[in-house]
Amino acid sequence: MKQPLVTVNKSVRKIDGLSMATGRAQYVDDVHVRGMLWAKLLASPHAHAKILDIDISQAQKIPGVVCILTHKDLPRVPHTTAGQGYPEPSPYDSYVLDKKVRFVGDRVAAVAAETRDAAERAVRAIKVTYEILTPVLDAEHAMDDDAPKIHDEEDSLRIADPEKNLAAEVGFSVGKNFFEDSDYIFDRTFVTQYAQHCPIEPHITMAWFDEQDRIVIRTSTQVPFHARRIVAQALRVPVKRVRVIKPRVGGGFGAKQEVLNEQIVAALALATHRPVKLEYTRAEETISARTRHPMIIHLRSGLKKDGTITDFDLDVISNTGAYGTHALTVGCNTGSKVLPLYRAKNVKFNMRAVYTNMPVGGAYRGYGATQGAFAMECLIDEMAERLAMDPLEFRKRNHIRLGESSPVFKALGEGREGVAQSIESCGLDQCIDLGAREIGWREKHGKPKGKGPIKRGVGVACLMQGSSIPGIDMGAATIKMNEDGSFNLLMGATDLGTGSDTVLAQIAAEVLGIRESDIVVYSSDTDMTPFDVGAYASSTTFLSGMAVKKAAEQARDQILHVAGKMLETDPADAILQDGMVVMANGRRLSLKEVALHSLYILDQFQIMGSSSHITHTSPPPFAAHFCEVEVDEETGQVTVLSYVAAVDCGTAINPRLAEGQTEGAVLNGISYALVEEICFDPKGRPRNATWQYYKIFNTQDAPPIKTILVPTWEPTGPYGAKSVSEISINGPMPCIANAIYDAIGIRLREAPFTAEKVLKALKLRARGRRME
Amino acid sequence: MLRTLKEFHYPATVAEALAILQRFDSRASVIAGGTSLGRTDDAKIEAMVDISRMGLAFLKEDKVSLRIGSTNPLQALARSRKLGVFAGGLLARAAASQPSRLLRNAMTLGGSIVLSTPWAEMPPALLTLDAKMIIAGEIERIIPAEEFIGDSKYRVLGRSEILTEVRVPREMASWRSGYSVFARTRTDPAMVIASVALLEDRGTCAGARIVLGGITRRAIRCPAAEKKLVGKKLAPQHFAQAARAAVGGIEVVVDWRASREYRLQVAEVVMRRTLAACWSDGKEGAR
Amino acid sequence: MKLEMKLNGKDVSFEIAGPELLLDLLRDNGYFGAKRGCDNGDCGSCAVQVDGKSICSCIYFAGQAHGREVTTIEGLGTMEHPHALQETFVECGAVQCGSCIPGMLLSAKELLDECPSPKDADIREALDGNLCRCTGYTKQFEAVKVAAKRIIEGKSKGRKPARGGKSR
Repeated sequence: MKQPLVTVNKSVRKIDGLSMATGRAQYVDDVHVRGMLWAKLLASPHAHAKILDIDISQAQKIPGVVCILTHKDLPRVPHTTAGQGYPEPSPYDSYVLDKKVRFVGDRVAAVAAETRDAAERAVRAIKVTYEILTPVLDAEHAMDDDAPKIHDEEDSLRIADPEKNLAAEVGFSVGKNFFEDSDYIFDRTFVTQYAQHCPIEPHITMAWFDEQDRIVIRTSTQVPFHARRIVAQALRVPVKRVRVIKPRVGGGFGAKQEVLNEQIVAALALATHRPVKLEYTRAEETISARTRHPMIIHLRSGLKKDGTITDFDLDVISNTGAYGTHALTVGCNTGSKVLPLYRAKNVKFNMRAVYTNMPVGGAYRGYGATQGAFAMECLIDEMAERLAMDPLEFRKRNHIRLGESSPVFKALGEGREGVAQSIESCGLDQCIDLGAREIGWREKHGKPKGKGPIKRGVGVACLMQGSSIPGIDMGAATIKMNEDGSFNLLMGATDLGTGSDTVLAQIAAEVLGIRESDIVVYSSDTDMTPFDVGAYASSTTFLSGMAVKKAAEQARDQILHVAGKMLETDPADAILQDGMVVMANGRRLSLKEVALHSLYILDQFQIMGSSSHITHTSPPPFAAHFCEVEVDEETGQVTVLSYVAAVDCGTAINPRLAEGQTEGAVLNGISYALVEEICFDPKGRPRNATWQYYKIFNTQDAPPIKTILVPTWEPTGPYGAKSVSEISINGPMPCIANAIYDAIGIRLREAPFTAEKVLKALKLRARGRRME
Repeated sequence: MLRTLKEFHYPATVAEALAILQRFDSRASVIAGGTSLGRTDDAKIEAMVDISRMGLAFLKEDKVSLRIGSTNPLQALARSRKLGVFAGGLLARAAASQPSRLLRNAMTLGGSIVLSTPWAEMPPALLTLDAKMIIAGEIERIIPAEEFIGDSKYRVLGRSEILTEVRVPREMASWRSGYSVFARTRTDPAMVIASVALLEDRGTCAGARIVLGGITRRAIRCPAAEKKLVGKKLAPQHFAQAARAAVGGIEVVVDWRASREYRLQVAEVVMRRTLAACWSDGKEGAR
Repeated sequence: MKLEMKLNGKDVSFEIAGPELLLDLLRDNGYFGAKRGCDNGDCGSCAVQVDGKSICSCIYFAGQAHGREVTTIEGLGTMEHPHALQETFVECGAVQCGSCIPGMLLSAKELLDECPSPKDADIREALDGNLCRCTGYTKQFEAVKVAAKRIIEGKSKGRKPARGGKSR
């Protein structure tokens, strides 16, 4: 039931915003720990090699070097670095340190030293004898019979087929007689590139011992609880001996849904019994951390003349790089977050994630849907064109609607079968209408593009994502009341800059009739806060938000009970409002009075609520994206002139923060579509590891971005909310591709759309026309 | 990291700075903005000679030259009213094309010239305007831009010398100019720089100085292109001819970002547009 | 060697070995507002002002700051008395993870000092050395404009105590 909202759906200030803006906010590195050692990892210069020998004798002589670890010094425990729930759907193919290296940037040894300089020098002084092996640098040929085997070790577990370099495979088929009813068949291949998350704060982890000799890990992570579990597993220490603290996080975007360095830092701390810190350089972040899985996507579809889509057949080869972290689940999402958007009676999906000797794929905002949406939305555009139908009209006729379901929901989940669900909120038509009006679709689409070499065009893309992983993800929260009527909200939910601390405080404040500034939020600390899977899968607002709401409701019920006794009034129909309990009969009490009474006066107890939440549905947010581009036919340069993202995220708990999520995702998506790419030399060495050459957009590159929030009410979410964080990164690549087509009549299916690629396509076409 | 660095010196005069450099011989480095030194490794450097406090951030004119002190930050040049009008604002535009305000604030004119990376912003513009480099040392030397720019700093500039000033002939003031950069993004090192100056005399091109940068290891003048324009009443085909001539036979610097062929094609387009825009006084368009 | 500077308005001195970069010096001395993002002058999260001009402290020798005035984000305003820019960045939703924010605020301050009512293009130019991966910059452009207006109107006089729920 909808009730008038006081705090929710208001653009209150981000509660940690001012501390960030004044430099007070404390990120991992913003504390001094006495006696801290600097750690540095030796990275492999080879894409594929066996380590025959490691000579650390020279490195040990460097003044200030305290400890050097190699694979000989650590227990060999197969595990995954994917920060996922137990049991992780990613293969156990990683070792804290291994005797084989599988990509340029893979770790060989770890040093801890008194200074950063000594650690860096020591790393350079370690002499490694390698037996260089032939690398696999082409995902399409990774499965060939004669391809070198990347994971030939015997102890790795749950690899789909190590003989074929196959990390993971999944598929399903619903329907029958594929392509028999279709008047047209489309058959296209799309290719996406290596890209990195580029959080401004690179991975950084500290570890030290507390007075109980427990390992305290202060780390920039999206998944503190998974980090605790995986560190314990990899180092063979009990979970109870590990505490993980997540302070402020300087951006994650999925990069920090990885338990990447916590193990090795903890191992160094264990070995030295000293505090240790490891901070990645920008180059290490680019090549040794995680990336977006590059994919080769083969999409076939069938279409009837009346505009009905009959079939989809989506075949994906995903390059997971040297390790299979998130390989299965990212690949699943390429289908599960893309295929249900349009109705078709026959749907087939197959995904193979292959190992190569290249950087490791991981979780990256959009999580596979980004790549899938590129293929789908470009093909949808092409299908509409075949019917000479407006692409907006075609999408409206075919997209999933309120009350409808898709067989894909059941057929495909995250690494296993999914959960059947039907759509209970959908504002996509309105997104399409409002976005189209904002960009000027009617006036611009399909119209003449101006004289001279600079052509203009507009494009569209429609999107869906999910909100948490149904049946798997769990979030919990505890809220307790203080003497002044304020509350502590303790959550495992992990704010990594997204504003979730604020959004969740707003939800609690709404329940308790107070302002969000009267809630002291603490997230997250495995010793202090209840469990939460962490910040991923677009889950925090939807899932953890519900846990917060339930916990706050428990506290509210206790408050009403105490107030009822204090006023000797039946608290039924009482409400909490403006920091007061207001009884049905009009009598009032402040929360402060209630708190003092419950803590000190009579029948004392702590007013507190604690609740967990799991979900059995993953309601998709929807979006329609539009852009206008300019294409220079003489240089091939593509410039985005303006971008409009209309998003249905249910109730936006904090509209400004929801807009911010959208705009940030859009700009990341735009630079991904146009320029972002890790390039490699023939030996698999990255050529652009620093930001001098790996480009992300600055203020002068960024086009004006307009967000339109289209409110709907999602009955399964807190106050009608769905997710908003990931969906909008999926739009720019297809949206821009479609706009380029509108501008110059060329469909680009290989990203990024660099100027040289565009010019080459123009020349190919010109040559083709001459031949005709 | 400059592990052996122990001292900073802050000379107040050029003479003082030269004396310190002499004393340290090759164990000292001049520093102005410092943007290229902070992350270098050089196990010899013991002293830094900070030349940013010697009054070299001047901008003045005498009878023959516009004189620009070498420690002017690029941002100051980009903002200078005088440079904004001199020769169609070429120097201001070149300085403004450095893509980060934070770096424009630190990087100096001298640094941009001395380091002279292929993508450095200032050298092509200085070459276009026939600038001269004033070098203080045992003797003062005046080196034309053509000789100085792009060459290894130690071949032209001795260890104990300092680039103090750049002089641009005042007769260039009334030339029109154009300056364009082509790269993947605004912060991407330039793949092509087209820097041009044209002199008009009653509808005829009375002078042309055409320079390419970014695409070549050092900024180069393109005399063949200039010949296509001088003495003519210019029309679009002349710009096309000149642009083609400009890229003819140049030695292209290639990295993984784009192929040689592509760079050449784009350089020609950018040059043609820059010339056209320059001639029409920016009324039509180079990007 | 002894390094003397004015840091956030106070005369301070440090004993340095020589190779230290300004970012390291500041962070080692508890000025954590400047962040380490790329160590290469590419991202601007380490930006501080030297004599009123924002620079990348990750590639700037501490020795270069000798005798100069250095302003870090800690010197721009405090939580109790924030600068108008710090307020509007929070109000407008321009702060997400916050890593780029201290540096960006100092660039914005430099802009408003020299150009009190900047246009869009001025703002884009002034902030072009500060990369942000979270926001798409939209809210930051807005925040600078709102702050400029507020400063001009004198309502905030540059400094005004923040009030919690004002943005509702």
